Amino acid sequence: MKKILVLGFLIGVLVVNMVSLWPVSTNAATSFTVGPMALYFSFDAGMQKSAMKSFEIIDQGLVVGNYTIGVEKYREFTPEEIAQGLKSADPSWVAAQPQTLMVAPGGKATVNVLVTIPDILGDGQYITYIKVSKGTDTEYVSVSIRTGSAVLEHKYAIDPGFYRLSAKGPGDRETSELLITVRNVGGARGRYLLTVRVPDNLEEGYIEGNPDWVQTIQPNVVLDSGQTGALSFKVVLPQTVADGKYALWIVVKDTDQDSSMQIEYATKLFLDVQYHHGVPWRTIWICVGVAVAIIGMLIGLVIWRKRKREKGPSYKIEQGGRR
Amino acid sequence: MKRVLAILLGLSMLMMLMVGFVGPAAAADQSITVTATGNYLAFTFTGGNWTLASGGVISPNTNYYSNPLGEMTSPPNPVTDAECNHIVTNTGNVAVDVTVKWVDMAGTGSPWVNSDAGTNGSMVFGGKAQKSGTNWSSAIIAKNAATYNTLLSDLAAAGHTHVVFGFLSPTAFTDSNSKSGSITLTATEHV
Repeated sequence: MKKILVLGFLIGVLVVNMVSLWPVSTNAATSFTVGPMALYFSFDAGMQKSAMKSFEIIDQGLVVGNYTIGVEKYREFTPEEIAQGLKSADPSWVAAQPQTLMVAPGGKATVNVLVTIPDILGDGQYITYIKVSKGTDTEYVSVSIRTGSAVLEHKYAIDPGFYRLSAKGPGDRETSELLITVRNVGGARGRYLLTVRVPDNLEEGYIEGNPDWVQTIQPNVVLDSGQTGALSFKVVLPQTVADGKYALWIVVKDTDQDSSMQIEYATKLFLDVQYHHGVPWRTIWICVGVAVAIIGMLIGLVIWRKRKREKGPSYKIEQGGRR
Repeated sequence: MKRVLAILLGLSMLMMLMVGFVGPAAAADQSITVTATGNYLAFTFTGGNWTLASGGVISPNTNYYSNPLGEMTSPPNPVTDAECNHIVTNTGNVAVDVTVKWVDMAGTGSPWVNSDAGTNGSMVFGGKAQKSGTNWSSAIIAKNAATYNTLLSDLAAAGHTHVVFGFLSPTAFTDSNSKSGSITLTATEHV
């Protein structure tokens, strides 16, 4: 009898626990999402030891969601992964704020992630993750920390350094597509954006052009490490542009750079416009040819007349049968 | 004689007409001449982020420097490599000029606005930059609004230069939130 009572008590406790733990809302696996699902931090050999980024929680439930956010140690890496430089980050380096929050149905909330690395830390890529829980639902945000020489990601290069264009007549208003090649030589994916701006400094004899003269054709490209791509634009000059030598900068920037120290490049665009005062070389040569021809004809006429005089008058003799 | 002159006149007129027709046609046929120089622009900017006071609270109306010898130690005249935390290296195949931009520093609440004059004010900061070998007293202003000042001129291919930044903090803060902003170096071919 006692055994039956104990067993019944245990079953009762189990049922009560199950009921109490049962989620209040209909939390399916898709009751919320997080984004981005990966945060990348880079620390090189400088004095910087901490950085902050954030991710969003987007609630998709039917009732107010109670979230808890915690940092957990990543799984142990395999020997192959360790050989690639992957290491497990100490969760104490990562602080997520807030650690609990409530989000209205369909609402969003931001979680700030502060990473602080120890003063002495070897080169490598350290991984940990942030666990976001809502009831029984769980999502993860990975935290990747690159240190030392491994951080020179977002390295890229462009060419050419400049374009020189010359517009010698009103018909010269529009160029064909002009390319700027971008090479991602860094360790991270880059999103490259082309913009136009007036130059920071001008070469002698040049004045600022109008950025509106440049039409972007391919203003952005996404490249993985090692890939090469192209951005493109064309120049469309207005009819009213005054003669002159103009300069503009076509700027290319990797917009995925998240460091506070960033780099960008500019291809210089030199425009030599001579709509009104310039004479095309072809026209000049044609005029010279015509002048030579006329002079030649005049010389020939003079010689012909001279010879004619030397010969004396010629008479036309007509003979008739009757006088 | 008249006949010859008439022929010559006719030929001349014909030539002039040809010029008249060919001239405009030549202009219409012309296209913009494009000359591209396939040089390779590449550089690195190492030294990492600059977190003032190691992420702690900074004082108002105070100069801070990205100086490894001390964040509140003014670089000397001339600036030495040892007092520059950042290095710009030209990894391309042509000499480059480099300009510097320092955006407003944003965060929760009002931003700290770059004065673009190296001076400060309430919620307004001043940004400066200088390269090694030149006097800090003549440091250039790192502005937020174009156009931007030249930090390095004619940096040779494969060459490198140490650079240091200065931050003059606002005279007053209207909130306690941390602010951050980026410094961007723009490289162009030295023509």
